Amino acid sequence: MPHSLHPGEPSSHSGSHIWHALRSTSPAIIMMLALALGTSGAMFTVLDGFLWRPLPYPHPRQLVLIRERLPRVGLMGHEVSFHAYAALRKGTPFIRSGGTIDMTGGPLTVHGVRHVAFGGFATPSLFRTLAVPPLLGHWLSPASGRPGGPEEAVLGYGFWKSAFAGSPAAIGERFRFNGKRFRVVGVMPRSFFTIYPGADFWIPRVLTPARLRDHNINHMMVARLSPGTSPRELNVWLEGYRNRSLAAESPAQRLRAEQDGFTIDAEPLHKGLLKIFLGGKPVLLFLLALIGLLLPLIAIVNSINLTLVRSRRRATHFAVRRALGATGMNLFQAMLVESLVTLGAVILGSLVISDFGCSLFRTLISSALTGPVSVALPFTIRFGEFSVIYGIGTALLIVTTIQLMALFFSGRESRLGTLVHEAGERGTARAARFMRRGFGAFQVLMATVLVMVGLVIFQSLINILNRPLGFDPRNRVETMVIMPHHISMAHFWTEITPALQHLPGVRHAALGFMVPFNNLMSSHSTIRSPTPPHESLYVRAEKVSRAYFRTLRIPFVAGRNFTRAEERDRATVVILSARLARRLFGTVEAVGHSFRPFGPRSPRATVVGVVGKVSWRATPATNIVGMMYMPLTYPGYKFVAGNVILRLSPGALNHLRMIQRALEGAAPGVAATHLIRLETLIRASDRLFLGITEITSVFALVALFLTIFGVYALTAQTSLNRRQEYAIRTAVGASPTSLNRMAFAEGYWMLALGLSLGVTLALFLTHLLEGVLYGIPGLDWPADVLGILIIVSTVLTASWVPVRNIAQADWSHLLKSGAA
Amino acid sequence: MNATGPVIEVKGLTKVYRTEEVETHALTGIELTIDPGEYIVAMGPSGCGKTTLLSILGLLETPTAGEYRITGTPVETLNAAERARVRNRHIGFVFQAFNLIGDLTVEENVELPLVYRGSIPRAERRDKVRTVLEEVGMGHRLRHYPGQLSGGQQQRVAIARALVGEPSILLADEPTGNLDSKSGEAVMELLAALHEKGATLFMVTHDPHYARFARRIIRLMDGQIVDDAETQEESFSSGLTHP
Repeated sequence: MPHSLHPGEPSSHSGSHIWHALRSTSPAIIMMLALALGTSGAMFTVLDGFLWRPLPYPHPRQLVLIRERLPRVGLMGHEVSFHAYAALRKGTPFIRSGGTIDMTGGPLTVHGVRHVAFGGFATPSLFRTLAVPPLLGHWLSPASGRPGGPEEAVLGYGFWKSAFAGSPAAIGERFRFNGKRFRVVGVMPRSFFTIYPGADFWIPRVLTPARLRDHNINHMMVARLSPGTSPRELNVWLEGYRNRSLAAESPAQRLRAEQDGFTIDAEPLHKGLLKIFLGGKPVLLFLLALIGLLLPLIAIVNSINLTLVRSRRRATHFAVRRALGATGMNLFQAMLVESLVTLGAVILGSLVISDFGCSLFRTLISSALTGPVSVALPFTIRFGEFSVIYGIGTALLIVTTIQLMALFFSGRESRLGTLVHEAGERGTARAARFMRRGFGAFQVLMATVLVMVGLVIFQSLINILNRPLGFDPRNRVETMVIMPHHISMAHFWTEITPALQHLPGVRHAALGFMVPFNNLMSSHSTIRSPTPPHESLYVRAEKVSRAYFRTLRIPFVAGRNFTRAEERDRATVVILSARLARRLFGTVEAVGHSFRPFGPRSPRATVVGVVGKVSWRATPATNIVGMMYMPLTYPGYKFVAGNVILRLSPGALNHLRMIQRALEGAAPGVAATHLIRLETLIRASDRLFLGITEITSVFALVALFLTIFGVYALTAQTSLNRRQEYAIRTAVGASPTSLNRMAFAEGYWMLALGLSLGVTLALFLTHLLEGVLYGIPGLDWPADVLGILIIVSTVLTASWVPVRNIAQADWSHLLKSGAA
Repeated sequence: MNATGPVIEVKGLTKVYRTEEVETHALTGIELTIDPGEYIVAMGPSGCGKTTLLSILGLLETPTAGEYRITGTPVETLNAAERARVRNRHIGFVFQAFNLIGDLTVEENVELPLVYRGSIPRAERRDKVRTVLEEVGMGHRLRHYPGQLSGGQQQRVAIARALVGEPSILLADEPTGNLDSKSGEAVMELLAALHEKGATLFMVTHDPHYARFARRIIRLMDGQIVDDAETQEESFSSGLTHP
C-alpha cells in the first residue's frame, strides 16, 4: 500500500498524519501556547474560585454582611453591635432573616474524652439565614437562643467524624463545654462555612436584655434579603435607620457619632468575605487577573509572528503540492489535520500545566490566607469544569485563529498575505515592517510590565523580611490558652505562674491577649483623645502581664513597667506605644499624663510607660494609631482567651509538646492550643506576601522567556527577510558596523516603544498596588531601573544573535539569486 | 592609490571552498591585470568560477591565496570595514537580478553608495544622483519604486547606482540575464557607451552574443583562465550574432 508522506492525503496512515502534522507545526508554538494557557488557566481558576463561583449557600446573592463603621476613626470592619442587630432583625422589611456569630473554643468533653475544639456562638437565626440544610438532625431551635432555653449544639462535619466517629447516634448525645452540658441536635455538611473560622460546633448565643443593649461593634451579622430586594434598597433603608437611631441619642453622643463618621450599611456577603480573607486587599485579584491575561497575550503574539514567518515557506509548499496534483481539498485536509493535532497538543499540555498550577496555587493561597491557624476557606480553588472549559475554549479559539491566519497568509492570492510578504515590491514594505515591529513592541511592553511589577513586589518582600519587629522572636514560643468563662485572665495567670517557673527550659513567661503576628486574635478599641476636640482614635488595646515586655524584649522609650502592686490592685495604669503617646500628648515623654481612654464615664488612666513600636502584622495597618497595654486586672475588659508567651533556652524548643502538656496540667479546665514558635508565626504571616512574590516572579520569568523567544524570532525573521537588502548594501559599500546598526534598529524600535509604554503602565500598576506593598515609595528607583536594565539587556541580547549571523551570510550567492 | 597603473592586478589568485567532506577549488592560480578604460568579458560554462572571480574582484569574498591589488594597493589582507570602504570608492556592481532595494525609491537606491561614503552633503548627493540618472535615461523616474519599473528600467537604475560613486571599475554579473532581448541590447549599449566615455568594465556572461561589446575576452574553465584575448575591432561594429 502506498505510503504518503503528507498529511491529509488519501493514502496516509493516521499515525503518519499526526507525526507530520506535529512536525509541520512549530513545536515552539505548541509549547508556548500550552505554557501560557496552562498557567493562565490555573490563574483564572483561582479567580473563578474567588470571584465567580457562588458561595456554598442557597441563593447566595441574597446574603449580605451588615456593618457599622467609624471611618474617620479607622474602624472599617464587618461587625455590628448587638444593639443594632436587635433593631435590624425585626425592624426592616428588606431583611428576611439575620443572625450573628462570634468565635468560641476551648476544651470540651465527649464520652469522657477531652477535646480542644473551636466553634461559634451563633444565634439560632443564623442557620435559617444561611439556609444550608443539616446533614443530620436540625438547626439550633429558636428557643435555644432565649434566656433559659435549651442548651443545644450543632456539630461541624469534621468534629462529628473525629469526636463522634461519624455516628448518626450523635444526635441526642451531650458534651460538656464551659461548665454546661450541650445536647447535639444536628450535624452540618462538610461544605458548611459560617464566616468565622471555627467549624467544630455551634452553640446558641443567648440574647439577654442586657446584651441587646450592648453598643460594642464586634459581632459578625449575616442577613438574607427579602426576595426581590437589592442591597442598594436595604442601604437606603439603613441610612434612614442610622439617622433615626442617632436622633434618639443624646446630643453629645450624636455629635460624637457624626465626628467619627458613623455609618451602617450592608455589603454583599461574597464581597465582604473577599475583603476579610484578602486582608482588605482585593487588588491582589486584579494583579492575578492581569498576569493571567498578559501571558496568553504574549504567547499569542509570538505564535502569530511565528506563523507569519512560516507562511511564506508554507505557500511554497502549497505551490509544490499543487504542482504535483494536490487538490484544494487535499490541502484543506492537511491543514485540518495539522490544526486538530496542534489543538490537541495545546489542550493536553495546557490542562496538565493548569492542573499542576491549580494544586500549587491552592496550597500557596491556603497557607497564605489562613496563616498558622488552619481554617476553612469559603472559596473553592480546584481544577475542575471551569479549568477544562477555559483550557479547551481558549485553545480552540486561539489555535483556530492562528491556523486560519496561517491558511490565509499562505494563499498565493491572499491580498493580506501579499501585503505583508510581498509588499516590498509594491512599495508598502514599510507597513509590513511596522506590523512586525508593533507585535515586537507589544511583547516588550508586556514583559516590561510583568518584570517591573514583579521586581517592585520582590523589593516589597525584601522590605517586609527586613522590617524592624520591635521585639525579639528568637527562642520564643506562644500558645493560645482558652479559659473557662468563669476564670479571669488575672486569676489564671496567678494560678499558673508558679508552675511555669518550674517548666524545663523556660526563662521568662508572660500572658497577653494578643501576640504580634497572631492574626487569629485581635483586640481593637476606640479611645478618646484627652485634648479637644477629643477625637476618637482606633487602637490596639490589650491586657498583658508584667513580664510581657521583658519576655518579648520590647524596649521602653520612657517610664517603666507595671508594678506588682498595680497588677494586683486593679490600678488604671497604661503603657502606650510611642506613636500613640505622641498622638495623645504630643510627646513620647507622656509618663504621668492621665486621660479617660474609654469616654468621659470611664476610669481615668495614668500613663506609666512608653514602649517602642512593635510590628503586629506583615504590613502595618494604616487605620490603627497605636497600641495601649493594660494590666491583666484593668477594669472593664474581659477576655476568655489569651496567649502565653514563653522565652525558652534554645534546647527547650525541642520539647514543645511536653511544655504544652505541663501548661494544661497546671491549670485544669484550660485548653492550650496552637503552640508555635514566634519565628514560625512571623514566617506564616509573611507567607501571603511571599506567595504573591513567588507567583509574580514565576510569571515574570515565563514572560521574560516568551519575550526573549519572541524578540529573537522577530529579529531573526527580519534579518532573514532583509538578507538580500543587506547584501546589496554591502555591495555598494556598507560597512559591517552600519549593517549591524541597521539590524539592531529593529530591536531598538521595539525596545523604545515597548519600554516607554511598559514603564508607564508598570508605574501605574505599582501605584494601584501600593496598598499591598511595604516600604515602597511612589517611585521605586532601584527596582524600576533594574527592571528596565533586564528588559533592555534581554531584548538586545535576543536581537544580537541573529544580527551576528548576518556577518556570516554568503553575499555573492544572495546577490546572484534575486531582488530585495 | 596609484591612479596611473593598472586598476586591478591579480597574481596567483586561488579560492578553495572547504566543507567537512569536500574541498572545492573554485579558482586556481588566476593571473589578471585590468588597465584603466578596458572592457573585459569573462566567459565560461556554469561552475567555471566566473562569479567567484567577480566576487573576489569586488571584495565580496576573500581569496584563499594570491595577491590582489586595486589601483596598486594590496587588498587581500584588508579587514571587513576596510574592504567596505574600498568597495564603496573603487567598485561599482551591476547584477543580473538588479538588486534594487524594494522599499527605497529610485533616487534613494542610487544615492546609497554616496550615503555610505559619509562626507558628501545631501544636496550634492542628490545633484549627482539626478545627473547620473539622466545619463542612463531614468531622470524622470526619481520617485518611483523598483516594483513600478520594468526589468530594463530597473537595470538602468542599477547601472546608475554603480556609476554614481565614480568607481575605478564597474563589475557586471550577467547584467542581461533577467531581461528580454530588446532590453538586454539596450543595457549593453548603455554599458558600451559608458566604456566609450572612459569607464573600466569587467563583465561576466555566458552569452557570446553580448561578448561582442568587449575589447578583451577571458575564458575560464575549471577555475583557471584558459584564454585571454583581445577581440577584433570589427567584431564590435559588425554586430556578430549568436551562432
